[in-house]
Amino acid sequence: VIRRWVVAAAAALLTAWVLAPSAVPIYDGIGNPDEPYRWVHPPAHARDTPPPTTATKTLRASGGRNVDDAYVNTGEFGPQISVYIPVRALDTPDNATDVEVTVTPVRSAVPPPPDGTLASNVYRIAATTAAGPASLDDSGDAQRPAFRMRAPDGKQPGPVAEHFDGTTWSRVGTSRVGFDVYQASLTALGDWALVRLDPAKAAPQAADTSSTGSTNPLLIAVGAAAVLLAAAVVAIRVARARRAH
Amino acid sequence: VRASRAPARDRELPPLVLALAFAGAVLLRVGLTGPAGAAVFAAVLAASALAGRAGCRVTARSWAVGLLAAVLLVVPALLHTGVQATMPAGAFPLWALGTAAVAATEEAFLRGAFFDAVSRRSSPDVAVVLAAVAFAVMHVPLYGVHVLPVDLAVGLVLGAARLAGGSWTAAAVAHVGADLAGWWLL
Repeated sequence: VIRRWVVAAAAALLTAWVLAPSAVPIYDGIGNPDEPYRWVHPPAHARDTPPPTTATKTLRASGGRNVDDAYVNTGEFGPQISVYIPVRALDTPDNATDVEVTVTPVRSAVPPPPDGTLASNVYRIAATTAAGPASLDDSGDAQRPAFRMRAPDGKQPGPVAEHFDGTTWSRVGTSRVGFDVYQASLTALGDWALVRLDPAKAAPQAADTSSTGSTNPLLIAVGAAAVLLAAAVVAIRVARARRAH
Repeated sequence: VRASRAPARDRELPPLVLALAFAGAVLLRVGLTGPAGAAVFAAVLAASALAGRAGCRVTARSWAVGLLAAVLLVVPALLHTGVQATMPAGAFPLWALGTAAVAATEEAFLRGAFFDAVSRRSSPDVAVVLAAVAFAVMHVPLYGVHVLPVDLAVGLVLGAARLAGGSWTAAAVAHVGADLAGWWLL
């Protein structure tokens, strides 16, 4: 039985890494306190920090698509932005053998979003090859790229991710996945930022499926109820066992 | 005879009760987020493992099997991502301490109390599979659906380590080893 499981588990691990590799995080761990947020244009109250970093990753390409997946993480601890590019998520020129993904904090002035205030730096996500620019694949046969951005704090309700196309800002569905970390689908290359919505200005958008901050109390309540119920069952069983003695 | 069996039965927690506590722990972890969420998660799992009487048996065999399993877990990741070492070395000891505690607690519960409870009611084969499924599912809210295949396979490796090592401590050694190695791959 043991030998069978050892072989089966090793085969499953190999198959999983070949068919659906998961770059990082590999398994799990716990969070560590982040370094202070590094601003391109620090607000008045911000601490002195080094400048925010740029991230670059080169992926192999073949037949007009990227054949590697990768996380493109900036160098802060923890990363202020982490972009996940799955296999075949980028369209490249047919003769391209490499595609370079860069994530750069935007230093030039960007018009403020009309529905709130910037809660992070604006990051430009780009993909280029020696043969020309790459773009996001829209055929639907690849996993959609996604990114996580760290906000300067965990204040709730949390910010939402917005994309700036050069003229307008548009919101995308955003999920809170950590104390101050927010995840969204990468629906387009270009400029992205976290925006703290101003209730007076922020009209609801049809595409906005933000869940930031709104589900946590419910999860905590349901989780606590489940734990208390299990504890009650344990207490009853212990009491019954003692009585039987 | 009936009276003497009843207390023994009552001392053994059914898998369903342990699964309920596990589901609650996962929801609390996701709801609270961050180190506080991890601490509550670990506390609930530790209490559940104790209530489920997950005995801690550390032997040379469990160490050896655990270390071998850790190597098995790390090699594919190493081949896939290489050593990036972007995390600051100075932050490693504190992170490692917390991560080791949480990982060991997860194993005490999943490959300890839960595994034993399912084995008693069903079979070790079913226990390996159910513990692996629970392990994979609990990571989805934190890291996304894309980790499901790899974490399911990792759960099977940890289950195999539990069987081969004769104790959940083998799986804990493997789990902690893989997590700590992961720091240097990031």
